[in-house]
Amino acid sequence: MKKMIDITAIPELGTSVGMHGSVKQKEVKGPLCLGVVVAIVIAL
Amino acid sequence: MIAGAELAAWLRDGTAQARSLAAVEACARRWSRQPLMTEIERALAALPERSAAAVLDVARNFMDKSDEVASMMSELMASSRADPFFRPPFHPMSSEIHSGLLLFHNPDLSIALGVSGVDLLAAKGGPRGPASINFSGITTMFRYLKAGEATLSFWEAPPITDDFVAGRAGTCRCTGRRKIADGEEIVIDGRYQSFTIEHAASDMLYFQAMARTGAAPLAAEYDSETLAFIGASSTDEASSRVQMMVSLLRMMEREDALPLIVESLASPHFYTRWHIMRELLAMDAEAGLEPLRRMAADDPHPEVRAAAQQTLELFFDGADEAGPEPVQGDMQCRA
Repeated sequence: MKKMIDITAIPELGTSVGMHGSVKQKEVKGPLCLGVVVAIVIAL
Repeated sequence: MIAGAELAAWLRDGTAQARSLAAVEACARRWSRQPLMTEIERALAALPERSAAAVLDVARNFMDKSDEVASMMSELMASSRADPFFRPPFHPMSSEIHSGLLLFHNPDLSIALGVSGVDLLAAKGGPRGPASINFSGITTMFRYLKAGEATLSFWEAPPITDDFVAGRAGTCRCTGRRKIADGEEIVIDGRYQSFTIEHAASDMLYFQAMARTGAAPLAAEYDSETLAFIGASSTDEASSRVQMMVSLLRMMEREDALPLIVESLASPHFYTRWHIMRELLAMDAEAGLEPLRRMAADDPHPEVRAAAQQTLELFFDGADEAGPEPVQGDMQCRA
């Protein structure tokens, strides 16, 4: 018989650490891409 | 913004879509062969020692070729003018105050070219309440091609180490404030240093190079008013993916993955080790008992040791070598 423990009953660490938000996960697509290039070219 | 009629026509025209895609792919191929890009790969591979300083030296050589980057931007503009559905083959990056393109990315180094819009900075500095000061855990170099007459505040906090404990994170403090100049380079060791933009007169244009070598296990955030620690997030994408995958395997009841899950308890990051242990115990308490005992005895992180000990007492009171005798929790039998 397999013994399992309810995960919500298992203690958590006092230091809570969220998931990584990678540079790629922060990406946004679409017209903003062009907007970024325009912004960079104008600033250059 | 792309006009609705123009977009509708493009969506109806498979040839036009293929043409747009071909232009994006051709641009990507061209730039992947450019010496600007190939040299940086070669230089990183040839590094005798992958320290953050050495990796940033490679990034510095890349940034010194700003004329070549400007030429690339001009080409992207020309392609965009020729076809409004052309998309630059670089990952766009965006935040409340920055937008940019990820020019180079590998496990050790990312280089982006970005703009901090003065209007966005002004909006963020508006009546939106307190902000946060982020210590990224990563060594980052900024080179301001145009500094926008910006004034930066520099901050320091207790160093983020492998045995980081939120309760001992203390407070951050301002170490100085000054205006930066065009062409200036700033290196921030995100394990204990950060900066905030106080004011800018115009848009800021900059290269940003992030050297993940030697990064802290997590990024820490402090409140800008109380200067107290308010939260942490992982700096390691792979660890976060492992955590999510182990949770998924447990929910899918994939017991065939137990050996891999036990193996992944060797993660260098304390929060990942404990996340995996919780999932393992929820999946198969018996399989998790011995690793749990080892964690309670000699895990390098004090909170992991304490949580493991508490878990032993809660669920395995009186357990002997023959196996666990859970005393609390949701016991289930799948037979």
